Amino acid sequence: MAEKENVVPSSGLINMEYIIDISRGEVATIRDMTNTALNQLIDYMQRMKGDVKEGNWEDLSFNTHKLRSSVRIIGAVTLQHKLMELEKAANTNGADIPELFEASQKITSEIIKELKQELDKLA
Amino acid sequence: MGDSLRFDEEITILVVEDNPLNQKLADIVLKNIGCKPIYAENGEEAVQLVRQNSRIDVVLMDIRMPVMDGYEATRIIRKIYKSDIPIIGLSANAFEEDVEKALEAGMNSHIAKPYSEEEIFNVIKQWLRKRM
Repeated sequence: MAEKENVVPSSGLINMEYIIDISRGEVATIRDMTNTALNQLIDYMQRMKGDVKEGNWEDLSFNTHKLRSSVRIIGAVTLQHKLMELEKAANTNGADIPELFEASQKITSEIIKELKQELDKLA
Repeated sequence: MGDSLRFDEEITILVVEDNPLNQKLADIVLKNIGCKPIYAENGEEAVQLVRQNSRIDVVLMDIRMPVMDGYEATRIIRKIYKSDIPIIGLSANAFEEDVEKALEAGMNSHIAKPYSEEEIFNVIKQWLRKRM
């Protein structure tokens, strides 16, 4: 547990406190969770991009919901709220879907940068 | 976090979850509180595992999943297999209507993700005690 001292919760669009807490500060576990969060963000956003392109709102709602259900783990509250708006729009075939998806994508891009910085700190 | 949040005997928990990050979260938290997690990726797999494995003590059931959702899986476990195993619904929402839908489907309780060790420990303990 000596490595625990190096683990500092980040500021910005994510907050790693929850992961650090449940991991008991163990760097290998934090790194694994952070990697999974990063890969999952990229994967789900790719799927959602395809859903928007195809106008498949049912799958968009499903994939948005799946991503939304896990982003609180990394403290990504801003993204969580935006995804909730997008999911609601997908459920009602809302005209604002492209705009909400673009906004979600922008936030996600920033979060990906922050997660990479977290991984660099843990290296 | 003290050792008071830890079961004395190993409790087997079926985690029904298809999201990789949520699976890892469950794995860490459940092991921290002295449980042994096993996994299903959708409701259909969960139904099969409950039917085949009598050593499962509690089910943590996600709601929105591919193949079969958590509501349907719970209805089958209750109505077809007549099982009274504690089923705790897990979802991204904790609105009143989500809780009501979970209870209507036959779940014992419902909590929002992500959950704290204390929250999951207490809900598992509560339903294990009621079953005994």
